[in-house]
Amino acid sequence: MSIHRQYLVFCMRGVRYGVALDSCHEVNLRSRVYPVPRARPHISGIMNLRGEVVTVIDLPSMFSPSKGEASSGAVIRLKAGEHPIAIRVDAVEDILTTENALEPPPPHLAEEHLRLIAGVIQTENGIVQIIDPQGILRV
Amino acid sequence: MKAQGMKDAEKKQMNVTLTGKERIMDDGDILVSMTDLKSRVVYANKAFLKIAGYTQEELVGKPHNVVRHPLMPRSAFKDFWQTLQAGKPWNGLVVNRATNGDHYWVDANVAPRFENGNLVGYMSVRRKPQRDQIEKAARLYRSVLEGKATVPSSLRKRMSLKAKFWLFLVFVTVVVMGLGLDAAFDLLHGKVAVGLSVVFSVLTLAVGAGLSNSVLRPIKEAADYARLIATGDLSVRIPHDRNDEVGDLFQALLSMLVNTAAVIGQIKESVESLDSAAGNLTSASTSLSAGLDKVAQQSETFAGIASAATQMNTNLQSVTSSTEEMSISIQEVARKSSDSATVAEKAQITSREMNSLVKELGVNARDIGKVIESISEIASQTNLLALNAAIEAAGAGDAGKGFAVVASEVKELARQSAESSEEIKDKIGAIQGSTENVIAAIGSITSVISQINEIAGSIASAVEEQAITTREIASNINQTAQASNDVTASINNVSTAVLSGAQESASFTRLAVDLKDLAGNLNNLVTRFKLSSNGAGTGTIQTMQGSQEMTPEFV
Repeated sequence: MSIHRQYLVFCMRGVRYGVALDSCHEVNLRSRVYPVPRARPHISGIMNLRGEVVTVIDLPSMFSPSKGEASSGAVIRLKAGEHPIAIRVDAVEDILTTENALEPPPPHLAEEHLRLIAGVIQTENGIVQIIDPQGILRV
Repeated sequence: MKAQGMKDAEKKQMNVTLTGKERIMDDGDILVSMTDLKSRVVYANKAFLKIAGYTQEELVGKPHNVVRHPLMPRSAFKDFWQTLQAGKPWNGLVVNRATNGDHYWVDANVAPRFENGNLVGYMSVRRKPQRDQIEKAARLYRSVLEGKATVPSSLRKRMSLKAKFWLFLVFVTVVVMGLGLDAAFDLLHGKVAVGLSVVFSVLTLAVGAGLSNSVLRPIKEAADYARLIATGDLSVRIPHDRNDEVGDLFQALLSMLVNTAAVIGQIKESVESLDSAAGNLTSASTSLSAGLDKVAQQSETFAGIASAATQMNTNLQSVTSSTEEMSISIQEVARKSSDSATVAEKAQITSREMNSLVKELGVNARDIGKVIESISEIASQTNLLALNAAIEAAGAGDAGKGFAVVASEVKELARQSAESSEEIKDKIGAIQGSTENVIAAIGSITSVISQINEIAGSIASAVEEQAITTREIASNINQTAQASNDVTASINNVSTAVLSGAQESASFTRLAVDLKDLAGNLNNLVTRFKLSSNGAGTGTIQTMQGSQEMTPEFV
């Protein structure tokens, strides 16, 4: 029996990542992120999403330490954890529906990355690294 | 005995300026001077001025005694004035002082001067004395100054010949009467009477002979002098120491001789001036002739110039006609240029209109582009909504499947919209690109047109310059033609002038030659008169061209 898995594919630093669709709540493009002083690293700030205050995590900085550019890009609100949380990414692409299995991530990744990556999916267009929301929460 | 002569003071003054050097008169020179009644010099001839060392201006008006020499005794002058005031001429040897202190001896003859019968002054004519005369006179004057002698008076009278003759007659009459009485009255003894008569006869004869001799000889002498004078010998010395009738005759001859010599001397001086003037004239006319010859030689060159000028005129005429043709062509070109300028203007207007139309097109395209942008935006928003709907649908599980389908259709729609928008955008981009090209093309057309316009403009102005130049050329040609005509006319004038000048110069030369001949003739006349005892015709004028005896300062 084939399982259709749906992932939301997005782009960061030119690399395609994905997150399980049922982990997503919403995608928002016009996002005004308000920075919070003395927040933990990788926290961009907070934003108002349909009346709710959501913490925004800057995902690119999790993957590469250099704090990238501004708060342009898309915000994906995730269904995870108790508090509302969202990740800021560079661009949202599409919904990927695939029957391919989630393969384990390549072993050469760094330790902290391995925590974040649930696995990889092969597509016609290349490899999509699937993010594990729990891993993000744990950071 | 107190020395005669001047007062010591005067003597001292005069002594200061004596050099003791004697100047000798030239042979045949006659020194002439005239004074007024107050003894002021009114005239002095060249010879006199020369030897006394004065110029005419320096001497005329001065008292004549500026030439007085201290050796001349006062008594000599006293005799001099007494003789003159008696109306008789005075002759004697005089030593004079020149202006620089030299002295010179003269044989002077001074006579009263009459004009219209009135006494107006005195004239002195001086000839060259002989050496023995000078020595004799010098000795005499020195003795007079020393008080050892006196100047013989010129007026001392001898018994006149008339008296002598009457005396003789009386004597003869008395003797004859005595003899007659004796014969009549037999007063004396026969032998005594005979003896007495013999003695008285002899005495009578002797005295008579002597008397007649003293009359006849001087008369013969006078005749000899007169004959000599007639031959032109004006240098004879006529003695002037007798004061009787014979003396008067000699005196008269001497005056005549001296005055004639003075006149001849004056004529000689004038002839010399004339000759030198004629010489100058001749040389002037010669150089004039030479000058004219030179100019005449140039006449060939002039003729060449004249013909060249005429030739140039002919050439210029053909140039003029060429420039006229050129003028016409230039006007054509000017017209054409002006036409092309009009066309260019029209083209510019049209292209400007086109430009604005095209710009409008561009603006419209941009507006469309903006609309498409908003459509694109809407499409992406729709996409997002579709995404979120899919997410919700995924979260709704099975219930959301239908929703998920709808959501995916919406996404598809959004995608198509986006695609179409992209296409339209491309098209608009293409339109805009074409619009830009068109604008650029129009721009280049416009710039080409304005270049054409500029060129036409510069052609027109160049052509205008050409027209101006052509007109200048034409006027220059005119001027040149004028000028060359003037040149030709001038050359003709020069030729005429040279010709008449040559004629004038020829007659001028003839005139000079005539003058020279005249001077020569006069000289020949004059040299017949001998003015000095050495050689004949002394003081001859050299009648060769150019040589003058008289120094120019006395001319």
